[in-house]
Amino acid sequence: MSLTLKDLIRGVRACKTAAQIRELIATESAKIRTFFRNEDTKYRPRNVIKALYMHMIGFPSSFAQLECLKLIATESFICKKIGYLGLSMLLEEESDILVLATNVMRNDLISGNSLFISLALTALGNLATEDMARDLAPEVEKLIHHKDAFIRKKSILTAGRIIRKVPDTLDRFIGCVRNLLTDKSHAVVLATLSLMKSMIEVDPETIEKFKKFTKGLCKILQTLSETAHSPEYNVAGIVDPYLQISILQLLQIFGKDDKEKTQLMTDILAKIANSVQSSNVGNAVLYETVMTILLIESEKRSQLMAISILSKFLSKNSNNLRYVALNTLSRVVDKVPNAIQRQRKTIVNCLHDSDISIRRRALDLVFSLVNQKNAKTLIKELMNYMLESNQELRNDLTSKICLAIEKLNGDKQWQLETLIEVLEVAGQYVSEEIAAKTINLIIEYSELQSFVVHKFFSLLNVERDRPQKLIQVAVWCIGEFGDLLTEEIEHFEAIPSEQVVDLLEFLLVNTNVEYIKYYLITSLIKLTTRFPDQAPKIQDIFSRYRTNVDIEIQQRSCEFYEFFKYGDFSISVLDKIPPISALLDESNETETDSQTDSQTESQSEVIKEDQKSSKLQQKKLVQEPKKSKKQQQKSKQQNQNQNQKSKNSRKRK
Amino acid sequence: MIRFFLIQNRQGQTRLSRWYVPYEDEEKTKLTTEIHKLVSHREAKGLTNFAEYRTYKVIYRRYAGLYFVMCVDTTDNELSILESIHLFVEVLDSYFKDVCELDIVFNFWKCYTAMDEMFLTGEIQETSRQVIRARLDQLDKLD
Repeated sequence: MSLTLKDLIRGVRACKTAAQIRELIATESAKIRTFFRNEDTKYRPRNVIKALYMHMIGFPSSFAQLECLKLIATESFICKKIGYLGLSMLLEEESDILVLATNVMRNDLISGNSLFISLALTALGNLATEDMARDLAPEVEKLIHHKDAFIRKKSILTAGRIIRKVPDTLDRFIGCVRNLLTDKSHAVVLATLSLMKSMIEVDPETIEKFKKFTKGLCKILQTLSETAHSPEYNVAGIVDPYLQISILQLLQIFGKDDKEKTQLMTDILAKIANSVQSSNVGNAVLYETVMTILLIESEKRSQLMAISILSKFLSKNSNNLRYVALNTLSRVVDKVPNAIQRQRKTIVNCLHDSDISIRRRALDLVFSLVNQKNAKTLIKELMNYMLESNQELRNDLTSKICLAIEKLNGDKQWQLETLIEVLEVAGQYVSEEIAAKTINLIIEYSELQSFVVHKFFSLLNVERDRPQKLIQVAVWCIGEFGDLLTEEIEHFEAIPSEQVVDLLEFLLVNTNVEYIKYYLITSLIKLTTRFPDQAPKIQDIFSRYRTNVDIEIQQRSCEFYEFFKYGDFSISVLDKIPPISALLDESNETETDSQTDSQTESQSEVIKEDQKSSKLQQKKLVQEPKKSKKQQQKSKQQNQNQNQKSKNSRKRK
Repeated sequence: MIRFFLIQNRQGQTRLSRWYVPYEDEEKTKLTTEIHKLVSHREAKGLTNFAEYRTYKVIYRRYAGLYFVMCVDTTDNELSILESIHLFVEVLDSYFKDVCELDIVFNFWKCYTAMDEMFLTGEIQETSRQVIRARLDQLDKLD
């Protein structure tokens, strides 16, 4: 006598340790195998079920596979049921047993017994392999028009799987779609819609063939939305929401980039959007309706209505609704940017949500909303947000803010001021890439260099303990444009050259960060050409650092110290770095006269001086192959000036 | 389309599972562990019922000690999937009269019948609770 399933489960549950369970299962599966070996038929279904249970709790039970096959080959419903369940649970796709099962399935499919047909269809639908799908497609096709709606819906869905497995069976099934869409059974229509989606997935060209059903589908929607009561399919006052949603999903595909088809849908979509009450299912239908309106070629009025529904979702006290609303908005932000701009405030509010996945989504959306017009307010909002956000988000946030600022090149002064502000308040989160990009912008905006260098100087002068990235960029600027500091500009007084060198020396002595020291040393040597009067002082600094323990500092100091032997600090390696557009110009032009050669040479030296910015320049070259003509001309001119300079310096040498 | 439907308890034991796309056994074990980790972690934090998972979306809901989890395509309607999970639970609830984890453990093969009457090939097959109930009762008489 073997245990019943109930006894086995109770036994397992009564075990106190994993070892006990293993022991129990081992004994029981040994018994089951004996039964199987003895070809016992009386207890076969029970034993197979027990094996399935063992499989579920993680014990091997492949020994029951063949028994499942024997069960489906019987003529008893319950045996077949358990056998098919076993097949779907135990078998992997490559199993040989599936090949053997195909024939039994075929017999069941043509048996004329609706219960057997159902079982075979279910098994086929859930586990059909490519071979099975190919072999049994003709049988399934015949069942699609079966008198029993249960068989119809199952065979239609199974056909969907067959098509996905063997795309060339599509032609076999495509013809029946028209009739099936008018079927009285909701489930059959729903299954047909799924079948259409499978067909579209396998062969997108079928979309054109299906578009003729647009009107019919809209009519079904109309009927569903007008039916006041349908007890079987009513969910919270909505008639068959799943069917509605499935139709809407197809309409989305048909109306996309098709004005004519969109027009057919406009009325019914508006009707649903206005009439569906907000409930769990109601919202699911509304959500799909809104998505449809936004993805097809709707008029502005409809789009605004759709966006306002999403805005309602955003203000609801449900995480799920806010999540789907933000997701939808991000999906269509390029298509209906203006309508979404109106909801900016609501979206910005979601930045403060308690759920991080919602905050993330809102953030992405806010970034895609930033444009020239709203940049100043939004970036300000984002900066405030960054300061209160947690560590995890800050790195990401900072780079995104900087990238957004970099893109909005309408107001250059604002752009640089904001970048400096980011460096000031969140310098520790700024990436190397952003620091490099900032430097790049400063090089490009020659008219603002004076302001920038004064700003950096005063920042460091007031408080020397600043974020590293701020110091890094500031030091680079002071070295590069130090001469501009000695001129007075609006809001900033002129700074004596001595004070500039003092500041750098102070930082060099007091900073612990190695790479900032490298920046400082390079900046100091550059200052020798900007302030010839400070050269002796700088030389003195280098002489002290020639014996530094840091090999890089030592090497730089020694090499730069050698410069002083030339006694002439107008050597071209210390010239200002020309704007990237100039370099671009260089790489675009194929001229190879000697002047250009010497120019590149000297430039490459400059680049070596500052590895960071060279990296950035290479990046730039790839990223922005084109510059405006005006800039190009300008940079050409600068190039020529440079050439002249380097030529002169060479002559002098 | 539903990739797979998992019902796990809080300890991560799988109570029911249906794989609508073929996975190897090893992969199934890996997926179940990952899903349990993901879902129980999110549930504890009270986050949304949706999560991105690999290239798909996971939609889940907890009923008492059981997590009902579906892994679906990213284009699927999250809210509708969540409702279909609820419908399935309602079906079980009316079939077993106040379903609990033990009902599912002891009658897992009946639950699979219910599941297969409601979902097939990863698509929703029947959306009427009454129709599914009547069908299950009819099938029960044959056992």
